[in-house]
Amino acid sequence: MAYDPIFSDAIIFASLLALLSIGLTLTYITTRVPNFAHASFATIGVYVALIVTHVWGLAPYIAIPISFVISGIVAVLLYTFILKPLIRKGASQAIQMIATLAFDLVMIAMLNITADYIVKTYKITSREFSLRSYDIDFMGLPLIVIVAPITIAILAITLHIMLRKTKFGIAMRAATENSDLAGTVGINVKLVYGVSWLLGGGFAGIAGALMSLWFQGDPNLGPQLIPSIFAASIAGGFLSIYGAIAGGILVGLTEVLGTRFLAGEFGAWLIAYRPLIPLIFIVVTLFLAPKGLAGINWSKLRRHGSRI
Amino acid sequence: MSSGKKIGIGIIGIIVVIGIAYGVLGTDSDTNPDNTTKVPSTVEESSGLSGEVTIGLILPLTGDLATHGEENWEGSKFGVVEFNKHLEEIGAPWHLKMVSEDSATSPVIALEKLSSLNAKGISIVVGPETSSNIRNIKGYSDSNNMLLVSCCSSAPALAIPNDSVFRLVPDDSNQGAALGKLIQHEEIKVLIPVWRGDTWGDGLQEAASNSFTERGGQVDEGIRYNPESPEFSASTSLLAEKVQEYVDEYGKENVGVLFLGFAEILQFTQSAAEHEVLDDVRWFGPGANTKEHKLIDDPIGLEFSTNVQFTTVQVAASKNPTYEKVQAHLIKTLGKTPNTFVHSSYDAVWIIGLAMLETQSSDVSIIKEAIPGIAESYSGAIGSTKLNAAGDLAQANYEVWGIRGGEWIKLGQYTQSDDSISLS
Repeated sequence: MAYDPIFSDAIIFASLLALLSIGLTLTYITTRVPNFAHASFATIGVYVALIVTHVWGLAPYIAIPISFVISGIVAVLLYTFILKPLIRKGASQAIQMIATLAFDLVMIAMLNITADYIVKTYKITSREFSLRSYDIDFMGLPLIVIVAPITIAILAITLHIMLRKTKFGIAMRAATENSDLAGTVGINVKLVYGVSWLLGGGFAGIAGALMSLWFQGDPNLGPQLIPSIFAASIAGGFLSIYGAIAGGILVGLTEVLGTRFLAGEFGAWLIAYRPLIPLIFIVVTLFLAPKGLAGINWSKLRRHGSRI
Repeated sequence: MSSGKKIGIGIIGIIVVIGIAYGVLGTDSDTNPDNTTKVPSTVEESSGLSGEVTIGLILPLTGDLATHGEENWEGSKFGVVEFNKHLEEIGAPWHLKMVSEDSATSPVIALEKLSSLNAKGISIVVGPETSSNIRNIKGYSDSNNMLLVSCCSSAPALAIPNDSVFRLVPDDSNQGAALGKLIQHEEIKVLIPVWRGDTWGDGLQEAASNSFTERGGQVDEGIRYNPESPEFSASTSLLAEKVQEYVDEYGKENVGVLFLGFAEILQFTQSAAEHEVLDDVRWFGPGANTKEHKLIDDPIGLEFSTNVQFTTVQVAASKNPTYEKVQAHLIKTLGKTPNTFVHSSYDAVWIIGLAMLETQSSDVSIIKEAIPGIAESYSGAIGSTKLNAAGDLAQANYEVWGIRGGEWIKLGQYTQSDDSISLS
């Protein structure tokens, strides 16, 4: 049977979604605010990759560290200058959430200005562009097929080691579980939160740089992806990094392979309804497992299953 | 409040906001300085015009059709410049001013912009560009006695007599006929349409499929994709499966794919290029993809569209001095060959202006009544601008274009009157 490229498409989409979901979860864990600007941090990475590839003439992968830094800094700015003052003034979670939405609109406007500047200055397409043609061939496959899942694995292991084995990781866990108590034992909670936002935004930036090799780049890419990212984080429980990875992979694979399977079985008309899949995930998770994959007692389920 | 409750509240908020965000994809990057212009009070209705007469413009300067939108914007701006020169030459005591707004290729934002123009007292508008936008704002425009002159909307469903919309393109029942004829001429027996799930895509798909079926061809149910999708792997995988089945049955030379989309064609072809069988059959496309530079600038896009001999039709603009002048100006301004619709955008301004000049009025009802006569007598950049009973361009000849040898070249012409096609 011939290899269907949709499997590599699904791997890439699931990996990038997991990466975005980790970042969103990291920021949620600290401030408990669902950050609607998160996907636009990734769009920054997409535009960094465009500049690196078409303006500087380098391989798109060079954009990864640059995107990490820029998107991370933008995330810290959002936390420091918008969310922190709101939290200090006792703003509700809903107000903070709306603030991130407003920040997202500002970011999209800035990205539009950037796109206009690029097209006018460098005479290169800066909307609905794709860098897929500039990927590196690796054993007959685009390198992104290998790099995307490996990036997830590296970041997951690094985060695991950081959270479990380093003083800073322990401080971070303490600060997120009980910030008041953490503060009284000398942990700099603000610094911990700032670093979480730096990492969350940075991971989105990395995802964005990689996305440019598979998705169509546009200032409006963020709003198109945000339902999938939230579905992944919610499926993962929203409070667990490992859940975010599992949720991202689950939602990503389902969106691509599930849509393809359903369209093959029930008719091509289903293709147009792919955006419903993440929304269905959110609803189903809320009904069946409000705490997501991370909240399910798997050992109890296994015991129950073996009895059946 | 417990963390469980907080999560619950947060999640409900997320669902609500996601729903809203979905409806309002896109942004309003208001890049045009003109939109702060006040509506001049010097316009004198029905008693002669003087001073500054303001018209509006709504085009997609951002979003899926930003490339087209920018080209058409330049076409309309040049139309205003040239028309004002004409007014100066004849000693008219007034000149046109155009207030531009960005629809962001979003029907919701287009409506917002139209109501904003209306609030400023601007009732005559060039645009919007897409049929989806027109469909969403037509009700508002009809009920508020406004007038829209679109360069590019072509959905057959919007060919409605005596409404507030004039369109300087033939409706897509004509483009569908041209595509059906072209595909039959190329000896395709089975056609698989793939189209954007919106007003324009649905209308053109139906027209082209009907035309091809009437000519004896077989049409698959096809694939209607979501234009907002960030990638198209599921669509191309399913398409490959369908094409393979037909190739096995009819042979690859008898199977064709009709792609009806906008700028997402590059993303789609890049995904399609992963499937060998999609590289083996002929692909056809609409005017919206004709001269799409992204296809020839991108290595994968170019290789794929060359392999499949990508062939399109687009409204034929007769070559005349005005056409040449507009073309030369836009090539200089944009640094590339523009799409044909820029000429319609240029003519839209002229037809509105000439109607005002003839009636010495900016009253919508008077202008609306005058436009069919003006359009019939005016010969613009697109040649004859005579309109049919529905207020759409009457002449419906199409040029056939294709990517051959790494560039877009004109391959021939479809003539509507005798339903004939001639390819070089």
